Amino acid sequence: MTPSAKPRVAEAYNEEVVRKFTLATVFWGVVAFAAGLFIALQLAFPELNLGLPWTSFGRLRPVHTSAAIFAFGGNALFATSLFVVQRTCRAPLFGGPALADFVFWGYQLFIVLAASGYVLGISEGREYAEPEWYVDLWLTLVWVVYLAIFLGTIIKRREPHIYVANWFYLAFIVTVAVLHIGNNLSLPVSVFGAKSYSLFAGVQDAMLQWWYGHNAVGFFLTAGFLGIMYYFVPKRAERPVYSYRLSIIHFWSLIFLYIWAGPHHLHYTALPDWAQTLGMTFSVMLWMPSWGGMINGVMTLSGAWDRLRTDPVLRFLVTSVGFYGMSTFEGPVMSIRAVNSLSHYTDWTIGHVHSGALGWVAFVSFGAVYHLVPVLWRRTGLYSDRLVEVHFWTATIGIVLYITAMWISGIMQGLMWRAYDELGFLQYAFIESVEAMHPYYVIRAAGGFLFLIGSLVMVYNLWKTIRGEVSAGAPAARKFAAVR
Amino acid sequence: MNLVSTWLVGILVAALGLIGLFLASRALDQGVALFGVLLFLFAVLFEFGLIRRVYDEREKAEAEAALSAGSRAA
Repeated sequence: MTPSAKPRVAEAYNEEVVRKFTLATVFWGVVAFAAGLFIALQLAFPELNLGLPWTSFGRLRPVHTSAAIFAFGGNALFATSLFVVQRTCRAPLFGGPALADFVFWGYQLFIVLAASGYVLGISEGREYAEPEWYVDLWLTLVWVVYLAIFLGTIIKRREPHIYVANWFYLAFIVTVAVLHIGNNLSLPVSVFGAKSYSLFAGVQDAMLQWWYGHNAVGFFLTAGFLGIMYYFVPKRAERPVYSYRLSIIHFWSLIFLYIWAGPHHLHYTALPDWAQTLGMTFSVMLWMPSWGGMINGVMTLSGAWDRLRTDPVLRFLVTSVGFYGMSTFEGPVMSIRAVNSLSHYTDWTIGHVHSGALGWVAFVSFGAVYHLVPVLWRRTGLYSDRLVEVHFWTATIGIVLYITAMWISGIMQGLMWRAYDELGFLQYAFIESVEAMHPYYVIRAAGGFLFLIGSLVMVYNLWKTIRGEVSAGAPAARKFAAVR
Repeated sequence: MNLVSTWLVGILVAALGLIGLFLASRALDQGVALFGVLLFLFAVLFEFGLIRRVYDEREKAEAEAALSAGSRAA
């Protein structure tokens, strides 16, 4: 057999499951952004709660957060990790297509169960971990199978080296499993009833929740998406990673430091001072590995900066790294106790979260999806690069409106709450701070609207790409290739 | 390997479907009732998907074998 006649390994890759996860990413992304816009409007115009329990802000807010983090972000991580691990290990997925399909459909069932539970008012009341015990058990099963597939593929790899993106993905999968199980240790009232109670109580329970909560940010929304960065930025820029050594140092320091940072969410609470200080100190130290990753991502473009002008997909990826640098600078600042006394419980936190979620997580996911779709559907390129640019600028303006509105309103909130008059009384009633927020809530909703519109442009562009169409403005060579 | 995996996943999901049916039948509230019913429906649809996949692969293999036999004869 001649070398060219050998079966190509690429044919054995399981791309079907990656295609499904990619479509799910786009679908749940639109759902998450639409839900976010609706609840933003509810805050500005409370009549939109409609007087119904199912449509109240309290129930729809976790629908939005879970849809954004677990449905949109989660599916993006599944899609990219299963794509990257096969390509970089030169091996098809361990366990065959049936096991991969189980993870796909099982994860979609988890999303539906979680969302329907929130709307019905079934919740453990734990931040970013609201589903009740039976949904937690279901997710554990799906996640363990996912880990088996990923790890099994790495073990049977045909490439001696394990590429750094896989390190980040593996840390994300293993740590999220530990966090999920630890945080959700609870006792159901009955095996046939939804209600359960946490094994922990009081400040220990609060500590556990924020150990989970902050590491959900660190390992789900950071380590996993850094895996995306380490594969898709070099791939798109057609350049090697700026410093492989820095990526290893950045990996181990990030993994070690993140796990201690949770207590900064509990400043000025019953948590002992030493634990609060520990959380704050480790949060400040996190600057170093976070910026190590950011520098590595951005500097990968050395010698290819001109491509930012011509490739809007690369622009999404690089801008996301910029937002990553910005929000990982802001996070440690906010974790300092003195700053936290002003920022905590205010909209500043919401702005910070969204600069990370929209600017980093969503942008790097958009970049990866725009790169993946033509590859997975065997197209010569996207339907329209111009529409990617429209998406980029619409979403960027949306983010800027969102986070600046939340910065201003958050700092104003914090200052109003701590203002005293000359007699030592609070200067403002709480309702006055709520009234002062109104214009900023409208601006925030406008930002969310632009972000949603941008995502709908992406849906249209991807739909046309999958259908194999090429826009009139595309380069002639691509139109010719598509016709052929 | 793929066939063994398909069988193992099929058996696991069938068992999960039965658990779902059992939970739905004894549920004390709408949360567990919904979970049980959705788990059962998930299992049924997933099993149909597995069966379809096995037949699709078999038909594809037969078609490829026929094609290669035809090209050899030519």
